[in-house]
Amino acid sequence: MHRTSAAFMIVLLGIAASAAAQAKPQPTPAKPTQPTPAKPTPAKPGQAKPTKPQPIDRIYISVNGAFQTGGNSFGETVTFRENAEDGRFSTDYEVKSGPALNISVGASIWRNIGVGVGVTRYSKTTPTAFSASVPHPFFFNRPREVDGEVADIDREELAVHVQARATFVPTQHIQAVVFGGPSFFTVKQGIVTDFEITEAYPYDTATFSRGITKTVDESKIGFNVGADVGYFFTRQVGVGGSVQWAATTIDAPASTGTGTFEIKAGGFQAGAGLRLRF
Amino acid sequence: MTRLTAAVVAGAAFLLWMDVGSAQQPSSGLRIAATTVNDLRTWDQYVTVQIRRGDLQVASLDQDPSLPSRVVERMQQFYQGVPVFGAEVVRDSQSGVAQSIFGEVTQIFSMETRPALDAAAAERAMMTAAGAGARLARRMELTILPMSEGAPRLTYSAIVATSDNVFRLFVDANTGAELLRFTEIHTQSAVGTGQGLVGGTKKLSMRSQAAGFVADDRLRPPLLTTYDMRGDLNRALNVAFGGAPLFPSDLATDSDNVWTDIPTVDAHAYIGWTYDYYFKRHGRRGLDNRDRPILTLVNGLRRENGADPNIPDELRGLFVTNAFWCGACGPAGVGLMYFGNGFPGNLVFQSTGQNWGYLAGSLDVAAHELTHAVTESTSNLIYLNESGALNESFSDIMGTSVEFFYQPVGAGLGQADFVLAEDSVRTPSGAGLQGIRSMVNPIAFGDPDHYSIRFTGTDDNGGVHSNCGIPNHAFFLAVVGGTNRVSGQSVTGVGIANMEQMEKVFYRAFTLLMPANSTFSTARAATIQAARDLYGATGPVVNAVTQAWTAVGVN
Repeated sequence: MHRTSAAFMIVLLGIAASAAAQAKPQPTPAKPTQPTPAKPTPAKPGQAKPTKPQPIDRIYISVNGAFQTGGNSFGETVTFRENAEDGRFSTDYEVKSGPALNISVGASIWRNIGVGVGVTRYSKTTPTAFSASVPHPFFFNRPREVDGEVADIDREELAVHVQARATFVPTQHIQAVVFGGPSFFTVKQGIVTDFEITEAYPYDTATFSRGITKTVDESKIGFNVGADVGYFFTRQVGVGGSVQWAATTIDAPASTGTGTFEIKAGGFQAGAGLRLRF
Repeated sequence: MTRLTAAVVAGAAFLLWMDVGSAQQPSSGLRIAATTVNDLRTWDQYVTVQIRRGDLQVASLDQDPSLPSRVVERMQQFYQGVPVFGAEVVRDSQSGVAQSIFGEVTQIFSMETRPALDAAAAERAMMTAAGAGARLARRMELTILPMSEGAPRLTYSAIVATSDNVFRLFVDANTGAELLRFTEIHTQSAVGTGQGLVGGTKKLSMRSQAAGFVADDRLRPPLLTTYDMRGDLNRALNVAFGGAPLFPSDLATDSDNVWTDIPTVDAHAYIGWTYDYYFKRHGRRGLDNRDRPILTLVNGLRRENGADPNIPDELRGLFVTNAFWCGACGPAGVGLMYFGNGFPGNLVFQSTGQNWGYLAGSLDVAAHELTHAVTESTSNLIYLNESGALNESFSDIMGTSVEFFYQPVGAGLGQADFVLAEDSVRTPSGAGLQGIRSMVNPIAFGDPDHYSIRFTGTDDNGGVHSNCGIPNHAFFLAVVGGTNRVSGQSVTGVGIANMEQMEKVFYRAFTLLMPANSTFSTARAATIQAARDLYGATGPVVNAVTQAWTAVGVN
């Protein structure tokens, strides 16, 4: 994962360098030996007026209300020992699409190349599908199948994105940024560690009663890449939209305390909001 | 009802008593088997009148989980306030309308019911008759005892425990002379030894405690405990027959809950399974349908000591080559089960070539013994003569049914078949007879398979372990079908796949419909009626039951 993030950094820095080369001002023409009357040359019909390079402000701030798409659903199957026999339970954690908050600040350090840092917070509470095979207390190989739903499984992602940025200002109203870099994810994920069933003699059936949960809190480096376009009404204030892919995979300790299971964090985010530049 | 009307009904009932439809009149009593509309109408009136007179008193009201709309009244016959031993009438009703009535009542026209002996004198007479060391295990009561010949007698009756037996004893209430005794220990025949025990790991419901685990099932509704006598025969005797208390330290124990003591494992597991069978198949909650505690003793004598010459033969027959249920045994007469361990594997009986192994190792044995307790709390079939044989037979039938409930069908170890105790009582080579009784071919073990060749002697309480072969074979024919060896009559059974039907028929008849002193004929009528109740008046079930009884010569 570290290697992937570095590769993205290199690619993005390459893109930014190329863009910077294009934005480089042309050399100043030599003075004419003879003064030429400053007679304006009328533009021919159909001939574009030369684009005047726009200055790039040093600071760029975006505040987005974003939407993070799902796709990080994951599951865990746990084997446990009960009634002198192995049983198992499985949980399917669905990470649904949901709102996220994204704030980033970029600073220009050389021409249109800059660095930035962004923060994304995603939080969602979703129910989790649960199923278990519980050994019978009296007989081997007669497990009771139970299933149900564990409500209120919380998921919270906080990602700090460090970005290399390349900025383009095609007009004085529009500013575009492409960026990429490593992301530092912290995920708090509720997981089912145990469960309770309701059973009664003769114990041939059982019903799911409730899941017992805990929150795992794990961090991992991932990557981010994205683009942002702003439209400025004034010199410093505008609105814009952005898309970003930021993701990682975390090995979380298993419910039983031994081994791990994977939790995917992040994903595709699209957002829109306020843009500021100074 | 006006007095005149009552008198008319009473008079009519008396006349009906003397000559009614399907009723028969043996010399000592009156048999009722009313299942048709006409018979039911007249006998229902008779029962109603007798209840009003106090000559019949309702002893219990039960509901059959298979037929929740039905109410079964079990009525005890009284004469001038004194109960008549074994004389009962059982009326099955739906919404107050009688569906069947079975009964065995005794005709008593005139009898003195004031005893010449008072209770103290009667108890002395009873103790004298029982022998040294005897004690009353149950309260003594005045009882009218119907006699096979002659008029009924006024007696004192009690269950008496001695150092090696528990039996019901009747002494004449006027003279103190012993009139009848029969054992209350419901045993399986002890004729040989067996080898081998069904393997496989079983789950056991135990209880953990500070220093390990004890055989105390806390998952099933009743108290279900297994006590390890640790080879101390005297201790086992004192507990079983002397009423000595059991202590927590007597519970079978294991340090890591991986149990290795074979009789403890099998007894504890199989008793639990049997309880489960009754609950799942018949909706019954244990022995008395009220979750009566089930106490079990094992290891009264270690298997290696089974042939110890210092052990009296009567104790060997009871505690080595035997398993028994005794409802009056144990602390405070709570009742208990016992499983013998048999002999060392190299010892076989010369007569059969069989070795007797751990009796607890046969699922049908455990179920058989527990079924005695079920019978005791339901029809209470008197453990004597035909009713005693029916008592044994019902235990065999349920024991076999439990096997089929849990085990795959087959003739091997741990497989369900119609042979009793085949997992415990075996020939070392595996050839020849296995087990102690066969429902398929009773004569193979010397038991009658037809009423015409029934045992008529007095040994073994009138041949209860032998004559059970007749109803056993009827049950087998009703399930599997086949031809009776003696009569040559064929039966179309319901099939093994439908065995549950026949289990329910026999369960309903034997626990709800039959009176305590039922004969084979009563059992026939009751099972046919139960088949009608459960599966309709016509059809394969009724046909199978009817044909089966006819084939074994019971009409």
